[in-house]
Amino acid sequence: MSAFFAHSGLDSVEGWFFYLGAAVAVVGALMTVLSRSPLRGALWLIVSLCSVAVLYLLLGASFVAAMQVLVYAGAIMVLFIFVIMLLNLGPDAGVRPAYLSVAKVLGLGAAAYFTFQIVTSVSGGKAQAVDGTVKAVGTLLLGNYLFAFEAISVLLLVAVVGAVVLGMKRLT
Amino acid sequence: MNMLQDLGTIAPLWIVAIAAAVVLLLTVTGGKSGPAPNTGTHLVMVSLAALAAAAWLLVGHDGTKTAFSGAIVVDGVGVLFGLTVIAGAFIAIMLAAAYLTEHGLSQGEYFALVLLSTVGMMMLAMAGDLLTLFIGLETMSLAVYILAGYRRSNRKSQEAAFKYFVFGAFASAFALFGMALIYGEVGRVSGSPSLAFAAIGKAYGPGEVAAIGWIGVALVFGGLAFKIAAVPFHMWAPDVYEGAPTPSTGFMAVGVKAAAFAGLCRFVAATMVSAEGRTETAVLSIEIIAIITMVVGNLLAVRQTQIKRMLAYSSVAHAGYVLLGVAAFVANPKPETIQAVSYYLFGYTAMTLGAFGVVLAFECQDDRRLDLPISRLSGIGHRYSATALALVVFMLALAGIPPTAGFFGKLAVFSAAVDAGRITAVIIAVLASAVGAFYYLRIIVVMYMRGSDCQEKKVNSSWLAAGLWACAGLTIGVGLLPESYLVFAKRVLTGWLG
Repeated sequence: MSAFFAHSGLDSVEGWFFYLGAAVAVVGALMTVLSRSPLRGALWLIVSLCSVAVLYLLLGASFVAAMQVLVYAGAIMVLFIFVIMLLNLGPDAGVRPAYLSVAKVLGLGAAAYFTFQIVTSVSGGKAQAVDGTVKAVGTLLLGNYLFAFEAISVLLLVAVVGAVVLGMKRLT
Repeated sequence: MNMLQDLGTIAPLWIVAIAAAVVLLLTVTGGKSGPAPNTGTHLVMVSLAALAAAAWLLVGHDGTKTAFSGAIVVDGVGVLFGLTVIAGAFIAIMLAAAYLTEHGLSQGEYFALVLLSTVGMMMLAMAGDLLTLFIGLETMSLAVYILAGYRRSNRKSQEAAFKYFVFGAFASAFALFGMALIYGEVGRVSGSPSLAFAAIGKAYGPGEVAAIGWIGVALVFGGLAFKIAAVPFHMWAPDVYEGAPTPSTGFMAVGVKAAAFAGLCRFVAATMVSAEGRTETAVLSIEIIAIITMVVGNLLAVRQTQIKRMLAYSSVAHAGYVLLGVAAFVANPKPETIQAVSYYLFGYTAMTLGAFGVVLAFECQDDRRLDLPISRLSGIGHRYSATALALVVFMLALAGIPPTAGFFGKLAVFSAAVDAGRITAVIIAVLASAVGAFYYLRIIVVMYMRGSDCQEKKVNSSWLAAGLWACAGLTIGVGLLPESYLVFAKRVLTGWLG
């Protein structure tokens, strides 16, 4: 019994927190997909995102965890909910039931296959804690990943120009 | 200093990006009454000059240079495909100058988006790791989604942008998920997770990668196959091609495809080519996709009555021929195969943009009906002989008839596939292109053999004429002198693949 606890990481407090966070993340993700109302789905997504932040914390990536809560669970979800309310989406808006059942079968099959492959290929491995302080992330961003960091600004410029082009009152 | 050296290596990227910013600034400072739509010659000039400068730098490039800790690799693939996307953007801007003036649309934002999209395409062609590949892919795609919806007053244009965006976002999400799986699998095999192609090649080489790593490869492949409109990821193509403004359609048909193929070549070189024991499965999967793509594309193109939809399916078919080249490359990794693929895409860029340029000249100007049925081309050969002759050149080239670039491109790709021992696939490809010849030649028949009382109006613009001349010149010139291109390709590809 104690060997099982040691193997699965349940002999430490972190282990218990990991399983709690992972379980809530999976349940939240499932409820996001299964909710009939888009608004409830979006709210469940917040739960899932916050518990993924817990997993980041356990890995030592404190900065990424904070960003996950602030940016994803905060800013981006506000945007999601804003759009859902703006479009006034009701339950099952616009999806034909025939397609829905096909999608369910395909989705469940894919999920089962992925779960099987992930469990068989990564079991027994041990995740390494990372140095996740702001300083470490900053050094990486402006060192190893400098090009990506700068290239993203081009991407954001495209997004800004695009928003103006599509939203401008009169384009003549 | 090291940083300066890196900046020198990526000069083609930032020259074009800065030109985009300059074009935007010139647009806002264009006059007191806001952006003036029809005074865009200086905008066109700035855009074209930047592209020419970037092309000049790439032509003079020698050897393999990496920059920013390996994020960017300027080598043979980067140079050849980079030049192809620059050529595509160059001609697309000329066509757009004619189109936007004719339709009274604002020019500055359009050119800026084309330039920024080109930056993304070059990033994709020069990616040294999956992160750069993904950012390049997104920069390119995001700009093209907007270009597809640029004609906001037209419902079909809106529909095209929305469809392309939603499907494209899904494809990108799948590719990103695949990259995460590859990252994890590389870490499991080699001890340190990495997104760099060099590290991926080392990890995938000895054949220790588990199924999850190959699922990742398949997902990334699917994401890129969406961009090149390979069957079964082609569903969006006809609607988006038809609805988007014609210069945008031309740009997405050539630039997006060439850039995605560049990324695909780098990706398969890192994962499939180096993998022991899995290569045959990989070749077979790509080959099957290639065959389905060319057969479905050609058969569906025959039934189209709208010329833009026909060209959409034709571009699907051409993606199939090029994919056959990619399969040949995985089976028999030689720089010559990449040479053939890049030659094909270069010729394809010229002839496809030319065909869309002619569509642009004749399509209906009314906002509610922006279409051009094939039947409306009847008799054009008698009235507008020069433009019709250009379309004849492009159609013959697309059909693969000598002495055009289309013929030598097919010849190069098919013989590379024969060299790799994929005889069955080549036979199917030749049969499929025979079907293709039917619908390309039908256009020529309609233009010359039916009714000479043509009432069609034609867009008159020197930019359009220049663009068509450039396309026709490239289509015939690269076709007559394939050696000059191949010698250049050989020089830049020297040493590629070690």
